[in-house]
Amino acid sequence: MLHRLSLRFRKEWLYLLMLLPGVVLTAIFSYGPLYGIIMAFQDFNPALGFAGSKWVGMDNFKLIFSQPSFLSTIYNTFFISIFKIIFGTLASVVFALQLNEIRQNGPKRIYQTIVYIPNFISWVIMAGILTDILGSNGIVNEVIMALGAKPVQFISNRSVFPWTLIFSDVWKTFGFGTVVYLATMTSIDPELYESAVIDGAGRWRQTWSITLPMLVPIIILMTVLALGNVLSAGFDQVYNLYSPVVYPTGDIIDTYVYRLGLQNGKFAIGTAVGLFKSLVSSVLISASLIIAYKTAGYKVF
Amino acid sequence: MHFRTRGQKIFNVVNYILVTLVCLSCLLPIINTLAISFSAPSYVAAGQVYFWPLGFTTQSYEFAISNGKFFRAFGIAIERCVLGVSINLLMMITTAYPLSKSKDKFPSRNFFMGFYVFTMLFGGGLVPWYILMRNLGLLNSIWALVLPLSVPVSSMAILMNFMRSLPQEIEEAAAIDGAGNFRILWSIMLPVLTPSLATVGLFSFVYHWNDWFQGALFMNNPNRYPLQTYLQTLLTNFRDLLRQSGSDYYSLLQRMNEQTGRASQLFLGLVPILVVYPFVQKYFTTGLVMGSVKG
Amino acid sequence: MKARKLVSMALALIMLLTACSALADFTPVPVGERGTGTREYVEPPEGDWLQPYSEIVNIRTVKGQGSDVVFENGEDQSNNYWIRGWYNDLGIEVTYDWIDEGNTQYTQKLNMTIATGDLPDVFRCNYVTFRQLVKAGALQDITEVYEKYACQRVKDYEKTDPDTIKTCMVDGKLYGVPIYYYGVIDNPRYMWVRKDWYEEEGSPELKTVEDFEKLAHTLMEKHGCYGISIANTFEHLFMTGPMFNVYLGNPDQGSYYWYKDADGRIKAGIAHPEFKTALTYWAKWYQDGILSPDFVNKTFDDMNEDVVNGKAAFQPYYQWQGWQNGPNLVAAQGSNDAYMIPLQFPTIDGSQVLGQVGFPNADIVVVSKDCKNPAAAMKLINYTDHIMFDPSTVLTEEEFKGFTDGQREHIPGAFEVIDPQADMIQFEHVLKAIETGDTSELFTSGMKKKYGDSMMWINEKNTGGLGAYLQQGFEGCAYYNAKYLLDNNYVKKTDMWGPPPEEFDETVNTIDIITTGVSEIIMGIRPVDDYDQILADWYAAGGQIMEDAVNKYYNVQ
Repeated sequence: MLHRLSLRFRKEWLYLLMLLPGVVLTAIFSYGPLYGIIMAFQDFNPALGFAGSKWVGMDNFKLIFSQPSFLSTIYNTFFISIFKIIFGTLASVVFALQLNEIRQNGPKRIYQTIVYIPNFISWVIMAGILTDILGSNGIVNEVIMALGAKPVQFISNRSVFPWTLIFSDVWKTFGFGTVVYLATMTSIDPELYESAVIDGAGRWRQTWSITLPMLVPIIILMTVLALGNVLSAGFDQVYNLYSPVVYPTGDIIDTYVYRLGLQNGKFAIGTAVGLFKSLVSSVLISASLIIAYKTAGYKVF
Repeated sequence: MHFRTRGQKIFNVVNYILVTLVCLSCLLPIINTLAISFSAPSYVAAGQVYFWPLGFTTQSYEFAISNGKFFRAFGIAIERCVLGVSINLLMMITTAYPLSKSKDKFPSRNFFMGFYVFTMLFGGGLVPWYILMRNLGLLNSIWALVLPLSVPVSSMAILMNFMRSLPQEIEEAAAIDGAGNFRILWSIMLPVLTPSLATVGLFSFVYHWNDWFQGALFMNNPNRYPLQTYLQTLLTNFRDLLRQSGSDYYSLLQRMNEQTGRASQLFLGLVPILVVYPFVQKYFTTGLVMGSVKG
Repeated sequence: MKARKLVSMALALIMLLTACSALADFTPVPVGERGTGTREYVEPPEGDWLQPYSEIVNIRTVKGQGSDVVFENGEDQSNNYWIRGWYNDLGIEVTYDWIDEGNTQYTQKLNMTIATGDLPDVFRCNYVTFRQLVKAGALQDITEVYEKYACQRVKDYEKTDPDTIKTCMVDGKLYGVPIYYYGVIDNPRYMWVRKDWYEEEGSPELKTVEDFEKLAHTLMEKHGCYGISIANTFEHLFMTGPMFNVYLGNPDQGSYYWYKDADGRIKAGIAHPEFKTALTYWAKWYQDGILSPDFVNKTFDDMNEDVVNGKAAFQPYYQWQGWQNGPNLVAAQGSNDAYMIPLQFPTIDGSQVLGQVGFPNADIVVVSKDCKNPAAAMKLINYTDHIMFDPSTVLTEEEFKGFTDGQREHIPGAFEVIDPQADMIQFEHVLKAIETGDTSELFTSGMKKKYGDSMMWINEKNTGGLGAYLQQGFEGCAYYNAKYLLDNNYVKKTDMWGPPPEEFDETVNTIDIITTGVSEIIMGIRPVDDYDQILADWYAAGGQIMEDAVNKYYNVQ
């Protein structure tokens, strides 16, 4: 037994040595504060601390989940998140492919920079611009009316609002994915394309049978990573765009919890909701890992 | 290498047009914001500013830059980014490389992978984090801003997958030549990984540059705020200031307002990113894999 | 190759910066540095409070502060008129454990500091934190210290509203001193109307809601605008509640106004039977175009944008509307008469409207259990009153500026109590000075500033002074209206006269039910009669808990 262990160590020690600094830092800064989770089960009073605060079991969870509107909030969060992931991935991949077709390096770089820029505009500012563009008298509705259709209440119509959130977010953030997918494409072996050309494959065929399959692993990875955040459907965006009239379809968990007034020391409820989000994300990530492995034979982590 | 058919030519034209349109839609908000940042508040409050400043003024920028605080905060932000990105890159490389190995080569791999994935999902919250920082004596220190998330797991996973996707022959060839793990990582892997390192490095830079919350939380002395925290403090209570009696602010309000202030804040924060980005981007567009194997 | 260079460079830089920042971290940082004064007990000097301790006493505190505090002549947080004043006049050295500039994370940071167990000696907190600290036994009973060392002027603050200080007592013991704020004069809201348009119609008196609607329609036709500009949070629409004899509070902050019904039970304003009248009118206004058809899309900025662009004739707003929209309105319309003036709300039956007044105190100055020199805290509080509000204090012009210019009046942080009569007295003196031209009785910085600003508008039409002018510069200004209401006791105080009870924590976002329902009713998606159901839902979701708690603590029979 001891011998086996030492043999294993001899094989691994270099890897372990490499991992050491990261593991130590992570242990201190990520695992160190983990005990804070117990706050979710306490009536937390900062002055009494973790040791002195009253243990209340599941009360914090009960309070949140007994709210009729909280369940619809969970549904909204899922709905908005999932479609953001789907359309966001689609947009990033398609745009990366389009950019990849541009052979001149100059324009390619400029375009790539431009689509990354909206990532940096905060939602406070972006929301101001969006309400201008999408309002009743905004430019979008003027076009719609010029085409003879009825104006669309993008911001205040309950059934439209989630889609406004989804598409504005996709538009703002797809540049991020594009960067990753493009970096992947540039690392594809050019010989693969050369031999495909010799076989008489056109660009569509090349894209379809070389580029896309090479992208699949990274697409799966990015999706799994996004699933880890599925219950955070974009606080800043929703907070800056929603209003009471669209709460039934537009309110997400984070905005709901924010309105509780966490600033006012309601740490415990915030922690309880956070723990709930973590658990759900864990289940989703595990499921997606299994699916990715069973269907594509691909190990994400 | 590319012989062109008519269909491809049409495709190219259509492709160019589509890409240009998308880029245009991404560009307009930023131009609008730029115009607002240089406009007089009365035009902005009236919603008249679109793509060109009205009543041109640099007041909003002067407001932010006027005192020494801006440059001090700028310096701290640079310091944080250099430290933070360097640490992140080193940690990501040394973490992703062992984890990119198969279970046969590195039996404990899955344990450590799980160790990291867990941190992506579970956290203890702010209070114990703050207590930890205080007990480690890191409050008010730049290390409080760069050490906590030294291994960004998402980026590390991306890098790890890049490493895995590299053709096995590269490493095997080197191993046969008698190169050790560190040698392989250093002289074979790193050059090949440039585009992906540039990618995760950029993400790390953007994170450290944009984060303002940790600065507000862990810095006891406003003189040690990094730039985004400083810019944030300028504007968050702008509206509340109006409610207070007896303020010198009122004359300033004629020359700038919350909206122009935010707009200029965006650009002051964005400039370094726009400077760094094209520099980093150089690495994205150069495929290197084959070059290194052949060479 | 490139990546390797990059990594080597990174390594070198880390080492370099480690060395540098190690050095930088040890360069003296004034804030957070422990002082040289003693932290042991020192006997406070006998007699007048304005005397230094025999030995310098150190007091640790924390503060959140606007980023607009300007230091001049090389001064900073650790060296300025206040710090020197405390040191020389009181023998107290004040050091800050931390300062939250921008004042956005104060509560957050305070809570975490409390969790570390290392409390500052004196600090400021809200009622939620106050209760938690008392419960944990972390605060000092200052009943005797307050009695002995608070100066008479500060004790007289109590007289303005005797209930305020009671909110800082637990079991008859005093655990803190309320900040008091500027008193209730800044509380009432008004119906602001475009001055030029209003005068064009001969400044008709608006007694009834009908009068108001008539004027609104006239202005709408004449100027192609709509009636009232509001935001989709209902913060501003709810201000018009008094027109229908309901007092509502601010739904955006989840705060309610409370009234006593005929049976003596305290209820939330939204449960008042007349609220349905308000809803009926609001729905009608939406149909008539008095409310913008697009109001659900309007953010705070959009609301003000419409005012500035002359798209709305009225705006329900606070007394500081002149700062918010005055200068922009004048500039955008290109006319010195294009600004808004405050009118009292008309009422449905033409009766006198009441000004709605909320409980004015939100924060408390408290002393940690471990503080050895609680008397020093009282002296520091006295000192703020001494410099800022006491008319008998004589300061040179230079000292005066040193203490108060550039927002430096906010330097005291935790010790910054405010004379609750300050704004009322200030207004009386400013208006008198404007009317008589005699400036000799302007004795506080606020008075001088408000007077100067008002004159700037009156004489030079400089819009920088418009805010002050509309607040207190003429007969008909906001404070003039407030004073009228207060002097005649035309006031509706909330019946929850104090902080929200702890039981409110057991309810979650119940106001959503109301705001969502109200927007549907106004837009005509649901009939007004549905409100009974909405209200029932509100009660079921937590309204009942709140109502019971308010009655438990505030319904003194």
